[in-house]
Amino acid sequence: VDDVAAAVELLEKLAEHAIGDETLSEDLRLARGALEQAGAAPDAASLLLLLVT
Amino acid sequence: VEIEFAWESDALRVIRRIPDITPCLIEGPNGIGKTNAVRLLALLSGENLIADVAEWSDFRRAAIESAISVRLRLANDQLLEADFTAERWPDRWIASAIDTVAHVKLNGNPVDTSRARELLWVGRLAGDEDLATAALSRVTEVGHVLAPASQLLADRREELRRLVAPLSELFAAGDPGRIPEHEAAVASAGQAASQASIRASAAAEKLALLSRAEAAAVALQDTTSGKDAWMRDRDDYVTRLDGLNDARANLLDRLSKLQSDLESTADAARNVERTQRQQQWREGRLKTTERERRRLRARLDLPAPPAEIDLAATFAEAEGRRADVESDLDELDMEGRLGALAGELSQTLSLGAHQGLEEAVVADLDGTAVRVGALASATGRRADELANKPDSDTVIELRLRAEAATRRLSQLARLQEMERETAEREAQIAELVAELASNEDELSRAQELAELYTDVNQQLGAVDQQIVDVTQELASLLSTGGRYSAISDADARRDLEEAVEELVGALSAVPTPDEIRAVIQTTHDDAESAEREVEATAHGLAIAEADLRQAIAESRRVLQHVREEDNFAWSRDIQPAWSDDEKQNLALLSDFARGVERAISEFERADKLVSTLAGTAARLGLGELRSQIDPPPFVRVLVGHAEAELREQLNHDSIRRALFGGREVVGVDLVEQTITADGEQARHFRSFSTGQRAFAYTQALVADTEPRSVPNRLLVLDEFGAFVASDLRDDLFDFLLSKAVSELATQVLLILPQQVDYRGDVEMTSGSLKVDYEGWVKQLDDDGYVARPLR
Repeated sequence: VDDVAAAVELLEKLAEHAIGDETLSEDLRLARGALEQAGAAPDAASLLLLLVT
Repeated sequence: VEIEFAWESDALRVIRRIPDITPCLIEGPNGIGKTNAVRLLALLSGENLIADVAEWSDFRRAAIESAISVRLRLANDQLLEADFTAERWPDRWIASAIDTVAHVKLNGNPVDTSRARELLWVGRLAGDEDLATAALSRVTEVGHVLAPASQLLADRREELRRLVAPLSELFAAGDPGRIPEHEAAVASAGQAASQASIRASAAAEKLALLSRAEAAAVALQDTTSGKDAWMRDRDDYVTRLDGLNDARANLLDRLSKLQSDLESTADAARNVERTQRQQQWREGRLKTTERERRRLRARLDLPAPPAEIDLAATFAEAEGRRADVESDLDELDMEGRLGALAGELSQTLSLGAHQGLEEAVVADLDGTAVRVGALASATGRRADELANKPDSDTVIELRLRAEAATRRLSQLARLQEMERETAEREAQIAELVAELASNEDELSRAQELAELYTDVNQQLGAVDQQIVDVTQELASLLSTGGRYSAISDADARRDLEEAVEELVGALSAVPTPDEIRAVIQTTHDDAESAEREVEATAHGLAIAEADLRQAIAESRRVLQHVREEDNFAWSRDIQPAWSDDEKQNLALLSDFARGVERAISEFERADKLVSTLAGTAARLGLGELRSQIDPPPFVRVLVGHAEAELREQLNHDSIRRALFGGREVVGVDLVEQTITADGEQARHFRSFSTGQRAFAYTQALVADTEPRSVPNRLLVLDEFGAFVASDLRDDLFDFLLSKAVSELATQVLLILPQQVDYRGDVEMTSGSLKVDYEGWVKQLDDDGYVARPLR
């Protein structure tokens, strides 16, 4: 959980350094969200539910 | 803290012992294992000092082979023992691995690894780390942090793939999202078929127009005499035939309606007969009633019908008379009434006697008890006596008068019934008379319709005959007109003008039959081509429609599977709210499929991004970074992050004061390797890497490190050889003995390459120093390094 939290925080920081590159900034935030959901969901079905909704 | 390492093989070199001395100087040649000892102690205290992936991998592999353990004699005489479990360390370091670095015992008892962190802190300062390396280590740290995240995403991506694989296979087999494509294909094919059909129709119409034009052109060339008269006669016959056929149609129509009307009056004769029979029967019954009525009136001395009588008044009078007679009779016939009373008493008392009351006293007559049985007998006898006593003449007469009055009343009631029955029967007969009149009218109308039908039928026969006659005459005329063209000149000119007007450019102003035939030939070819196209497009349309039906059928099957099959139960929570409308459900299914695909795709994009970012961060070197003229976006982001982190560190109060005169650091450029403080020119990293600035930086780092609340704190200064060799040696030693350092650490280790030739210098020493030197030479001989107090 700590690993995921540290990575999520880092991705958010990196996204802040992607100013001017909207695509990369968006991708980094997408990755941040995906990682948060991957860390939160207990199994693949729950993860898919989070991703779809 | 006194530290002793042990190992099974020396694949990983580690110094054997660190004495409980502070500040402690450890001198030895490179490769003796000074830094490895610090790395292992740092791992035990919760930190991995190795950032480089390859370096970690080598370290781990050697540690597995060496099977290293360590014993630490801590403050308060506690003994901490650790067997490093390198075989459990991950190939790529992740923070959570810190809990499995070793099996730990405290004072001989197994404890969690985390207990070691509560007792021991190890901090390392590297003297050879310049600002560029410090900044780049931030990039490497990104690789470390993202590595476990990348692994988690990759694992989850695989789980997702396995989970949705059956769903993806279903959607591949019957993708509802393709239905609109098929619908568009059907619409397109339908449009093509429609256009082909329009072209074919146009060609056919053109052909018909040309055929008429050809006939017209031929007709205009026909100049035979008598043609116009013959054609007028022919047209007259045709007109007459048309008129006759119209008349025939009208007659048939009238016959049909008459037939229908006749059918509706078919029962008229039977209805007349039935009502006549009913009327006769009713009249017979009326006569019978009438006779009885007359007889009763005569018997009651009432006027004969049809005279009106007041029956109610007559009734009232008769009842009055009977009441009078009965009143008189009641007054005179006392014995009769007494006999009746005695009889009733006798019956009642006899019933009581039979019910066990025979001896019961029913009355007391002046002291004499009267019993039920005796009184029943006495009243019975008295009743018989009075019954057998003859009536008087007056009573007999009154009784006869009463009977006569009763009979009259009875006859009056009967007469009343006869009067009512007579009225009813007369009303029924009146109804029958009206019905008979209606039925007779209907019968009359039916007879008229039958006559009219015969008449119209005869007219039809006459028209039919005329049609036969005119047809024969027309046939006769036509048989004589074979030499004439079938079209009048006026019609021919009109048809030809119409064709020329329609086919502008294809025909000359007055086309000849040959010219028209040439156009007919090309038009015929066009028509055939258009017909073939109609067939082809119809076939294409049929195929497109079949494809659409198949796509819908397959999508239906997918819908059913997704909604009902057990192996998709897991997806119910993410499925849309289905409706009762199948078409809407197929659209929902399409959205659902796209949603799942998009979710998986975005997750895979995230996984790929993090993986690439982690890999780039882990391997990015300073040389590579500086050689890139236009670095890729990932690298720019990593560099931006490292620069921001370094800027933040440099802006800590103590560092800002030591290196920038308290000014704020406003810019760090990792590529150009410059630092800019507020109001100053940019300065190169090199200007901070040696001399007083580097030392100030080290001091500032120590000052900025928050002391841990851990009882055993080990601060290690590694790679500080350059400091010791310079004129900063004494400053460094003073610093290590300073309050700032003693607050931060309970023990300080200064690790240096071997500075002194102890063996060569031992002969030049004396006294206690010589004793010390001899001891250090022995350490060198035994262990290959020297561990001694700093001063």
